[in-house]
Amino acid sequence: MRPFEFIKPDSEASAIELLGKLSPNVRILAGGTDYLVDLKHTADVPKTVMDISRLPELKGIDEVDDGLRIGAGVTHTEIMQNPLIKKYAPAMIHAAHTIGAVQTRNLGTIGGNLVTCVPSMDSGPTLVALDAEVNIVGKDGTRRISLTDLFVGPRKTSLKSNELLTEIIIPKRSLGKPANFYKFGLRKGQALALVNAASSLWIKGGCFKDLRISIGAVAPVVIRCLKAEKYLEGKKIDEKLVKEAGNIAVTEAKPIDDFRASQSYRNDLIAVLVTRTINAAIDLADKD
Amino acid sequence: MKNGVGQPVTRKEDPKFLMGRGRYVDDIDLPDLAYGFVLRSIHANAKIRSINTSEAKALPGVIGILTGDDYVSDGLGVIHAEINPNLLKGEAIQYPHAALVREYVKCVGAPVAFVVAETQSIAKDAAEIIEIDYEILESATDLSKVRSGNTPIVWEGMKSNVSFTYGMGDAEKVAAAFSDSAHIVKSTVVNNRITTNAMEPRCSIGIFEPGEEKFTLYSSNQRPNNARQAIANEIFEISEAQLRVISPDVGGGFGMKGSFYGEDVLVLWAARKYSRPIKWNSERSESFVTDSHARDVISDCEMSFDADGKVTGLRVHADYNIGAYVAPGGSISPMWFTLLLSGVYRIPAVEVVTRCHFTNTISTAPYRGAGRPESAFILERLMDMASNQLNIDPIEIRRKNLITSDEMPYQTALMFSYDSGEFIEIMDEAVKEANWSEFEERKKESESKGKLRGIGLACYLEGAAPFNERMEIRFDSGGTVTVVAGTHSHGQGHETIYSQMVSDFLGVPYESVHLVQGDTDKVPMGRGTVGSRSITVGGSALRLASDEVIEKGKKIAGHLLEVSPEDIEFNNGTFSVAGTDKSIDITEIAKRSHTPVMWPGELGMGLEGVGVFQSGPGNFPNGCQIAEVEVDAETGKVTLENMVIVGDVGTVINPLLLGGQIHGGLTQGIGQALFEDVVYEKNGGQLLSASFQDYTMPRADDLPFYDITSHPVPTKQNPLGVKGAGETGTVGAPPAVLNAVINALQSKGVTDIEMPATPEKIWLALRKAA
Ligand SMILES: Cc1cc2nc3c(=O)[nH]c(=O)nc-3n(C[C@H](O)[C@H](O)[C@H](O)COP(=O)(O)OP(=O)(O)OC[C@H]3O[C@@H](n4cnc5c(N)ncnc54)[C@H](O)[C@@H]3O)c2cc1C
Repeated sequence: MRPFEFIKPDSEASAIELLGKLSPNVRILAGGTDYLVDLKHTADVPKTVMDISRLPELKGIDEVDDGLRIGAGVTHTEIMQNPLIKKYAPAMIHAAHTIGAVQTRNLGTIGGNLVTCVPSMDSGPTLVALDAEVNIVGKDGTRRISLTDLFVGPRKTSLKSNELLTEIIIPKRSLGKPANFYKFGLRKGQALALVNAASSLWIKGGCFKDLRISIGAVAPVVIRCLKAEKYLEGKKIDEKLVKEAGNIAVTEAKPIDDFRASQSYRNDLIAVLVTRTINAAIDLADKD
Repeated sequence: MKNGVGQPVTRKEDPKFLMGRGRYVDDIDLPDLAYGFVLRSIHANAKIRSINTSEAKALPGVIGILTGDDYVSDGLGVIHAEINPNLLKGEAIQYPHAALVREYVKCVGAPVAFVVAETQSIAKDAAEIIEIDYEILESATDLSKVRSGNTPIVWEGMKSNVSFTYGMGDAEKVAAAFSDSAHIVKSTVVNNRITTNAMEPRCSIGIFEPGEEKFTLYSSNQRPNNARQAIANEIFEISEAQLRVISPDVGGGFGMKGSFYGEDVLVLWAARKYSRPIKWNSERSESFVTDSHARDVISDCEMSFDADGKVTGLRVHADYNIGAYVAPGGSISPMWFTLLLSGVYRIPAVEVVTRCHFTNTISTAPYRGAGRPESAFILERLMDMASNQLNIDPIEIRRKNLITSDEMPYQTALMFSYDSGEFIEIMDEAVKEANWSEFEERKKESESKGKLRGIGLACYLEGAAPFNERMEIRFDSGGTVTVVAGTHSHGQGHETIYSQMVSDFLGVPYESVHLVQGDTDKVPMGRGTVGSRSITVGGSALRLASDEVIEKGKKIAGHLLEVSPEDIEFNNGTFSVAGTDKSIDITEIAKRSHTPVMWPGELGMGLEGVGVFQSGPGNFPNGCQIAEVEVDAETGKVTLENMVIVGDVGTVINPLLLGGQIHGGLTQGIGQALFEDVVYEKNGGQLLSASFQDYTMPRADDLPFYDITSHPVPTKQNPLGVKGAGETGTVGAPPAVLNAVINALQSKGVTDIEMPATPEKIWLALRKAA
């Protein structure tokens, strides 16, 4: 690892200012569980590494006017232990629990997970299925975008090098929405998802309403399965239809074929996981 | 007796390790320490056209850079393996290799240059700017292709890739048995390639004292005395007195650290060259491409049966992948494999041919089990296949063929004669423990949840306790005891178990026993720890050393109590005059034995004893394991629901430590069966499974609680009745688990699956069968 300058601002404002000044020769470090691994191997060592792990503004999980706010600096462990998450988005707890091992979850942040933007990120599908949005702050102010618009490609987001992801917002309409996350890896812990998936839904009059299906590790970024959603939306709950939605989801993905898993296996897993997450969400839903 | 033999004593060494006070090689810091980094081949097979180190040498902080040419010009010797002449068929070809290669790299990870610098990162940075011009050649990494002769030749000039061939048994007798048989079960059995991943990666420090002309090597090694012998005699051609090898705390070895490695040579050589102590520390990613790998055997097997389901003959033609360079321990697994192919069964005629092939992969060498898991896997897969083909229940077909306890001692058709064992009783106990009779109900329950369920068993045996061993017991003038052990504990807990034994044998307090090991200047001779040998061979030597202490103690007691030594009795730490109340404690004897003047010369100086035990044919730990699995047919995922082991490791000295050995062994066996696989790129020869992301070792939450029962049948081969315990878990687990998985898939038409039985393989097998 080549030498670099290390800075640790103590407020969001000074972090933004420093970013503005130092960009593009600066990189952000949160928990470091992704970035330090990279830094050890890359030839592209930045001039400055800015540690944001202590910024108070990036911490905390709160109920706000437009929903639930999760600071980008919140760790996976904090998510697992948070009562508001438990109340409003318990599928996130399950997703967080599948990430790495205890040590990784103690350090790794939700912001870091989203910004690293690997297709297999485990916090992505649930958040997408809950229509999450993100706040991004730069020297020109704050912008709010949908989470899916943050994802551009493998390890590529729409963040500019002078911008900070500050918070994730789960909109009010999604709070308490029945949802389920499923990760399929080669062992229980410390495993990369071969496929992961999340679904959320309401049931109104025995029919699917606001169904969201999101899958990861099978396309350049975490995606929403719009066709599968559309296929079920408004239809009566029916096992066969759910199964068909799983098959439709397969057509929306483009999994790779490598020694970890073949494309056809990944495709089959998509169908199985989508079906299972929808069925699990149905089980959670009030069926009035 | 508290803390005595047979007690579940907790480990003496645990507080140290749990509180981070262990002292591993990397914990050792020395004044003036410099760091070495090995630049390795990134190609599986290539000719080195040129190496340019000039820019790297100029980097500030670089002390020197060594290459294969320097190695030759400095006249250092090469690394090779010993091939067992009794098993060898035809000639053996090795390409003994230097600690740095020259001209060719023959596998990814082959050591090309050794960079020595003030810090490890400088050494790495320098390595990055060494220019090597490679001419890339075609490579051969896949054993299934290599055995069919469809690959390039690894070493130019050879006619085939076969390095050596081991053979045993009687081909004619087998042919005769086959022609008379009612059934023949045939299969090609694949034992996949795996790697150890000891918790502590390998690490070495070399020191050279120019005044004394003496080297010191700190190395994470299981057999320091063996390393000294080999490195002194074969590499540096110095007397063994000029090399001290110290293996301090070692974080797991499993056979992978059973021999020395090139890096041990490099740090010593560089220490002498640059007059600095040199440390080399493997990173985890480096360990994947430099620690020896293991297994990787494909065998064409045929087993013949009579009309009654009794085995009449076995033919195994096996191909082992030994890698590009024969490791010092490279011939050991093929040897045990060849010798143990009769297993627990009465097989009148056996023929084994084991061909060992060069490939463009990392060397293979022993890993927990070393040949024993490979042979047990074949026998137990064949038994299950026969059960299907002959339509005999898997338990019953084994019962027909297991050697009975009345037949002991049993001479196999290969080399070994088993002294003891109750194979059928053990199987029956395991079947009961696993509640086999109610399996169908559990299966129905799984099916009601949409899952498949399977149960499988494996009866197995292994050969343990090679070589002789020497142990020494010394009392100091304060009366405390030091055991100087030729064995080497690197996780096993010898300090605890030897303390238990000495405390039991000599009646001294458990707490007052200390262990010295792992330093060739302190342990004059010893064979280290491999092959489940320490408590059997080392422990027996300790018994003999204790007997010598008692004999000496009797002489001293006779002198002090003024009677003839013949009148002295020894019991639980006290020497007493028979029929009187005159007695003296062993601690007191020890103190008095150090009297400096006015002490009879014939009583020697101090109280000590040396025991040497010759293990002869060794012993044969055995057992039965039963695995039960549930399979998610949609994803192919296997959940191991239950794992039963009933094992015979002879007399149990410490059930807690035995449990630890069985747990670890089972987990490594299950790892191979379900999770772990070393994968090379089919054409380019790159190692693909080169980190824990893809080399999926199991974690605790992937495994059930194990149901472990001891069924001791003490061996007559040693005074303690102990059989080896280190490897039995690993030997039986792969076939038990695989048999269970295949049993679960049987109703869907799947009859075989290769290890590891990963979700995708199962998914694919189910689809193919449908
Ligand atoms: C052993 C191990 C196991 C793992 N297992 C999993 C797993 O199972 N599932 C999974 O999804 N991931 C896993 N990971 C990856 C990683 O732990 C997570 O992605 C984690 O959430 C990253 O967060 P971090 O805070 O450590 O990010 P960092 O490493 O600090 O940063 C990651 C990237 O995000 C940028 N960044 C971080 N925060 C911000 C911000 N607020 N604004 C702008 N940019 C930012 C950094 O510049 C960097 O590029 C694993 C990692 C390890 C080492």
